[in-house]
Amino acid sequence: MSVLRNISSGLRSLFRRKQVGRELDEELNGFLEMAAEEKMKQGMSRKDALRAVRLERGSLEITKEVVRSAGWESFVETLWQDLRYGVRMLRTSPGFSIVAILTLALGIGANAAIFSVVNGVLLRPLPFPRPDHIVLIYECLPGFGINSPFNAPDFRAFSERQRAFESLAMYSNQRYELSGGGEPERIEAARTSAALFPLLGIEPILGRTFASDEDQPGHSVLVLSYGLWQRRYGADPNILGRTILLDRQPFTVIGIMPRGFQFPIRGERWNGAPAELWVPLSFTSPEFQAWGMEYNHTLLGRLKRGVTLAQAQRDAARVIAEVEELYPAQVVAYFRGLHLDAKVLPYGREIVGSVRTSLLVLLVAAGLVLLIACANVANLVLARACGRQKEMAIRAALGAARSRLLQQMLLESLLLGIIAGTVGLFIGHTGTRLLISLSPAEIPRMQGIGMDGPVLIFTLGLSLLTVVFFGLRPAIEASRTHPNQALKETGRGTTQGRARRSVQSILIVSQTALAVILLTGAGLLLRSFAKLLETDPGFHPQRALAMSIPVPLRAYSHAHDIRDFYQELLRRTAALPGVTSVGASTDLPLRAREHDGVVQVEGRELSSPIETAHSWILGDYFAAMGITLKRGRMFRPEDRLGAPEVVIISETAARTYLPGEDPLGRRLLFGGTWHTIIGVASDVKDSAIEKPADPHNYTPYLAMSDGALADPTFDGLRTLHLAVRARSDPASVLSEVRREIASLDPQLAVADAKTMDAEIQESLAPQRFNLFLIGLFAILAVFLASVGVYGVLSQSVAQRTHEFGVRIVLGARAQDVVRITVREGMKLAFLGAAIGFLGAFSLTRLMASLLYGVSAQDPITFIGVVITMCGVAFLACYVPARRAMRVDPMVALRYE
Amino acid sequence: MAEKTSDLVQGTLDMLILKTLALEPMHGYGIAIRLEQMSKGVFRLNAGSLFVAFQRLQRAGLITSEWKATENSRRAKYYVLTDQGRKRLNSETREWGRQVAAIARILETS
Repeated sequence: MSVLRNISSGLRSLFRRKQVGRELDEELNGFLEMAAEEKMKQGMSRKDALRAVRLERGSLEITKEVVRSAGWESFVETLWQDLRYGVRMLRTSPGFSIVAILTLALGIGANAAIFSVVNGVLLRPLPFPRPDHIVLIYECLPGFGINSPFNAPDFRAFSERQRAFESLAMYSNQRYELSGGGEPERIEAARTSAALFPLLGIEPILGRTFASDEDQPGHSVLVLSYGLWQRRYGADPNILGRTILLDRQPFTVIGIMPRGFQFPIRGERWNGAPAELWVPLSFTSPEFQAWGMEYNHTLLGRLKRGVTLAQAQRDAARVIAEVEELYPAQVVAYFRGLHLDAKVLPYGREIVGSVRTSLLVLLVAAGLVLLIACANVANLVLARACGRQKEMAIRAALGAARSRLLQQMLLESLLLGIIAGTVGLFIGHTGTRLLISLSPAEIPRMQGIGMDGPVLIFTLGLSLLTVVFFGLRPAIEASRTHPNQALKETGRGTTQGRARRSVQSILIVSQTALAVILLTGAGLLLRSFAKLLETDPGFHPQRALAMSIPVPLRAYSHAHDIRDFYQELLRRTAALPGVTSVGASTDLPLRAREHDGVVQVEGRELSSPIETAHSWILGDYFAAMGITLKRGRMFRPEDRLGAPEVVIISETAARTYLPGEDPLGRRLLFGGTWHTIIGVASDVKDSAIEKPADPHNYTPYLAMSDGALADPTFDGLRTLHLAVRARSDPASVLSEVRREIASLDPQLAVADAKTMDAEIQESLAPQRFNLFLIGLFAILAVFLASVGVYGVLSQSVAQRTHEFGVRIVLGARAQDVVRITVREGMKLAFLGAAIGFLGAFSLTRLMASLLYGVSAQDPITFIGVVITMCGVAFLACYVPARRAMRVDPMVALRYE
Repeated sequence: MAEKTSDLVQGTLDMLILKTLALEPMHGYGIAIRLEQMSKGVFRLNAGSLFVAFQRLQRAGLITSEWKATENSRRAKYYVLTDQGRKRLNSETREWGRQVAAIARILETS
């Protein structure tokens, strides 16, 4: 109750000031009058009586002030006054205000933008109910260092035996030729267990998802994504029940998923391409017997309530050991013994694994830029505070308490911080959109990123934090004013206060240090990027062109149809005038998907299978891609089905299989048959330029068995990638090749047509993204730091004009004056660079995983950065020093 | 200063004002005079501390005020003890008695 009364009474004093003041006036006047009357009764004159009362009881005005300032509302009132005063002060020096606000806003905006991405990608929970219960389950196969997806028999055995999961669902990416109703196109789809949608907990907006028996063979139904429904079918509400052709087979549309629903979420290693439609993943009984093969499907699970990750991991390990027992003896023998293991990983964590480091490094970099910006503004605020020392001194002399001065200064800074935060929010908004448009496709969950609640709170908090960083120290400094000293000091040309100078020195040193850290990070990324560009990808991208041309089994149902199609296509393409050579392969450099295990090498005992990339090639693939045959011979047309099995291996493969021996003529066991090595080819980067080349086996496409080629369950071998080397401009060849394809089969949808140059550019997109942002931050940092050094030295020179005048009169030469000034600045810059050097030394190891070909403590980068920073600092010192040199002693001394 | 006055023990002014008002509603000057008379001139209060105390007590709901005419037909603000104020006065008086007795005992024994 009394709190309420207190508030209402306080509010009354605030908003009905006049009336409350009048009442107090009247009451106090009455009080003093009554006291005076008492005195007058004792015989005093009225005038003397009033004087005596004032002495005894205090004057009217002071009493009023005392009473008024006793309530809480007086605090609000002074705050309001200070605020209005602060706004006035900012308006009277627009130069200072604009520079300070822009500097801070830039720093805050950069942080807000990066944080919105970090929040959206790393912090935001997955858009499914109980997202932390969704896990990925991988198998660990012997000899393969990586976590592998599941195959059908393991999945069936696993789901029958497990106890930790509420439900399990498998899925794998599949691309289809989508035709009927418009141009044929290649679309990314996913085949999933019927359990997937209930497991994720997402309902369709129209129709239904798969019934529980629809992942048995024979159900041709599909669920459309919202995007595809909008884009290709004009959001037709009557689409349910309609038939759509996938690879020329009819499927019935049964449901539409909601807008924004994405699955698979980008980032999972094996099946991480967001699908535009979903079809049931059904297995035939031969597939359930494919023990030890076809580990192609990612297994997703939802933990039972109350089951922890560790418990699930133990259960999975137990179950997979039981599954291992089921493997037929000949498969175990083929693998030379078997030891399966399972790994349960949180889905949300797993999909962001690869970008986590780079995003966190970006966040740190943005934070450093903001700190430098704060240091700059602190310097500005400090300089201005010192310019206002006289004002402060007068206020202190008139009785303002130190806390009041402190409050005033802090409030002005708070005002700056809040304005800067608001401007920063706009910069951050623009920055976020820029980031989204620049971000490489590899970053998962970029859709739906924006300035949402957490980002707004973060930005507000950051603005307040900056106030502490840039405003607190100058405020303390300024409020420490001794009126006497300050009034004396400001009159004459004395040197600046020692305290202020030490604060400025600390600011310069820390700015330089922070800039050196950022510059080092950028330098390391730059050197990495240069190394990446220098790295030989193993093929010649210039004038090379590639596209993927999958043939649907429905139209090419016999193996010889498929072979004939590709051979005819190659023949026609080779005849084009702009083409020098043409070939095809099941995989392209930088994105090899097919992997195999070499389980036996003739004349050598292997303890476990060796994982290799495996491509089936057709025509003049090596020449078209620019891969050189180092030894042996190329495939000949006779190397086909029925002839002895042959293989060309890469140099790395040769070193791995038969270290120090001649591989030619030796035999390898993989894919169930023995192959004779007939050649050795140069290494090609299979997955990424920054990764070492895998061992690679090439076999002739024409040697592939009819069964594998026309396998209804796996279309990877019916998707050849055409490689074309153009005589001049590859882009013009592309349209000619497309024409040839259309003339062979007008319904065929070509995908991923691009030059290999573009492919390399694309594969370097994440590195370029990191380099661009960190580089931008580093340039900003160096710029801000040098502005800081320049600003402080300019002030110092301006204040020492008198001193320099005296020195010159006493015989100092111009270069002496320059030396004094430059030395003052460079001492601090050197110290800052040294501290930054040490800081970078301990910080850059955090980004080691982002580097390629340089160590995180690369001496060239470190030394180069320190030299660069000192050079910039020297310039920032030299310009004000030149001004000091030109001091005219007569003017300087008369200026007093 | 006309005569030497003692500072009030911290926090006791409120209690004394409540005590004064327990007899009858009174205006500010009346309270000041009454306190001086009762203390035989030991406490002389300046207007500032007195009126700050009035504001504080009023906001705490221990007293209320109303404008009335004085015996000299002057308009003055009279302060009135509320029920809550009376309760507070009783409890504080009791507490004060306990403390004074305790302090006295300590001073006697040493």
